[in-house]
Amino acid sequence: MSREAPPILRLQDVSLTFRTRAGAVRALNGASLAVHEGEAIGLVGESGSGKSTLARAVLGLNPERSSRIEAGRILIAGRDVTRLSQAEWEGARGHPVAMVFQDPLSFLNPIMRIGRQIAESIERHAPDRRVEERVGELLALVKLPPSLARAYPHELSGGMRQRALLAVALACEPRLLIADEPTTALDVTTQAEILALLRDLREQLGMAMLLITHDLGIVSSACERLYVIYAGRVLEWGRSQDVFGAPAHPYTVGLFQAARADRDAQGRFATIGGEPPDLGETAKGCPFAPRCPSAMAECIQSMPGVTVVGEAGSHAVRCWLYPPAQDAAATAGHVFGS
Amino acid sequence: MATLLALQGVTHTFRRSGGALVTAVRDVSLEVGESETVALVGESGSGKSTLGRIALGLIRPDAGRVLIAGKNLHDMANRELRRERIAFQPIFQDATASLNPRRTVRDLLRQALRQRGADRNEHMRIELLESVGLRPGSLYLERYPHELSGGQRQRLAIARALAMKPRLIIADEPLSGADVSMRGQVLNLLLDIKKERGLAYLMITHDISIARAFADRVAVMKEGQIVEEGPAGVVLSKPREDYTKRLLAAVPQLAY
Ligand SMILES: Nc1ncnc2c1ncn2[C@@H]1O[C@H](COP(=O)(O)OP(=O)(O)OP(=O)(O)O)[C@@H](O)[C@H]1O
Ligand SMILES: Nc1ncnc2c1ncn2[C@@H]1O[C@H](COP(=O)(O)OP(=O)(O)OP(=O)(O)O)[C@@H](O)[C@H]1O
Ligand SMILES: [Mg+2]
Ligand SMILES: [Mg+2]
Repeated sequence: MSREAPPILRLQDVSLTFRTRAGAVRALNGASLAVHEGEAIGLVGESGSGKSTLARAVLGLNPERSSRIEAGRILIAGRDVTRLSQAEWEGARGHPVAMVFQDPLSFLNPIMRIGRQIAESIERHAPDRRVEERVGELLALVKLPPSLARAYPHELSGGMRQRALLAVALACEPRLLIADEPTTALDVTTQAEILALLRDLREQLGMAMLLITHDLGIVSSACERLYVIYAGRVLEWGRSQDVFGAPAHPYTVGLFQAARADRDAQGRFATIGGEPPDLGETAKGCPFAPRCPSAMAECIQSMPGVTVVGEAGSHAVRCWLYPPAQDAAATAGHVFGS
Repeated sequence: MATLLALQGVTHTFRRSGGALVTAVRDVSLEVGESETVALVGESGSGKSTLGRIALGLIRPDAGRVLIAGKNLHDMANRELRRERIAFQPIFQDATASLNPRRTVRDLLRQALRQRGADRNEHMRIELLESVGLRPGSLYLERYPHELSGGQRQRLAIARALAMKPRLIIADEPLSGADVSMRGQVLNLLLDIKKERGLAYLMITHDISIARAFADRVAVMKEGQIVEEGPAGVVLSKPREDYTKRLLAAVPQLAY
């Protein structure tokens, strides 16, 4: 994989705020990440940490009227798309990024047959293809019977809808697939088939993938690198083997513990203690400090810079337990995970 | 143990647009007793959600009977039916579709609490939100469903179902979008309520760890039929059917 070419996706210090009747919600607060061609990247974090907002921001899909990117840049294959309007996005044919949404029903057109929705996606990408045939291929790829082409979304089971949406996304042969919880509604057998399909597509077509999931087992087996996000900030990132092998940030540690733990002696499930932050106020310090078992005075004062941990140099964290290096330039390359 | 819900020989066939006839549920019999938890597992498209909708009276089966506390659901007068429906609360697979997008969180909860004549004050609504981990609750009251994250919306749907103080909750993949920590919180809450109020659950899930933690009995569905059923401990540790073994097998583990 060439590190010369610009990454297929790069976010640089992106901050995004939603306006609601009850005030502002800062869902992204200086988030940075990079996905290179052909890479499989995991994005993990608790519910409400900003994962879907980040994914939608890449495709300009956050509500135009009530959300605003206040700072930072989003680059797709080197091109700045931060300020593209909805109309400009819709005009962007042959777009290299496609997305599978967490919530299939709200992104499938309820009054259009599944086959037609897949066909439109093909036509947008490559109008001259033999569309009918390709629709059949795509349905087969996601393990759906050909007869489903004529069905409407409400006639599908939850897991079938999720796979139909995946077929729509794959129809435009994206260079990057952003998959937001693509297998949550699937039993393990179907899930395993879909994950194998995504792996094949990456190997055959060199498609990159940004996988958002709560299932850390999937991330550890399917992703080369991962980013851990909390309160709209990336707190830790690195190669899967390094981060899972030696998680640095106390938040990551808590997340992994909750995933590993069975129930305790009282039959209770493990959780991370404390409350997720109120995104209305922009605290100065580390957003995790109020819940952190290792919090120190400086954690409340300010957000630390980036520290490379481990020997491989491919694992980094923002946490005062790992004081940042003096030489900022030495770590700059790691800020975006390159 | 008194039987709360009984499905007897239930069959239902859909004609999908495009002509395919799909017998989503085929001659299924299943009972849920007072304060019992039954987990319904099976692969995608096997008929689980359809069976749940039949139990809720949302789909009238082509054949078979649905009994609520011994009475045939489809013989009940409307008012009686409405009362029983409140006692049986759904949590749907797709939370977005079940929450009116034009109502704020406050309105949605108020409406649910009112059904039980219990909407007394803001404090109750906040308490309800906080019980499903939406804290501080006051932060969410003014929001609309689309202004919540996926997991937050799912928990709102759970809060709303609990507000009606049901006797049976029919939950379709209730925690599929929740992270591990949150899942722990909500499962702990559901376990508590089960203990305190003797609530019964019909839990549709593909997550075997939820079935293991939660269920007294497990029923396994395949192509519209129940192919294996029994005490959770037995079905999940010594599955008889190959199909069940496969469903239990491939859970991805942390690789490091
Ligand atoms: N349209 C919106 N208006 C206001 N607030 C929003 C909106 N969309 C999301 N939020 C808030 O922004 C925060 C981040 O939401 P986001 O959907 O990105 O979370 P997530 O990490 O995807 O969570 P989940 O795992 O539950 O899906 C949440 O606190 C959510 O309530
Ligand atoms: N309203 C409908 N009209 C036509 N066919 C339907 C309808 N609802 C469900 N079906 C079909 O019935 C079958 C069973 O669907 P159901 O939703 O019950 O499956 P499920 O077990 O819940 O699957 P999943 O785990 O994917 O949610 C599927 O083949 C589906 O296409
Ligand atoms: Mg989300
Ligand atoms: Mg279903």
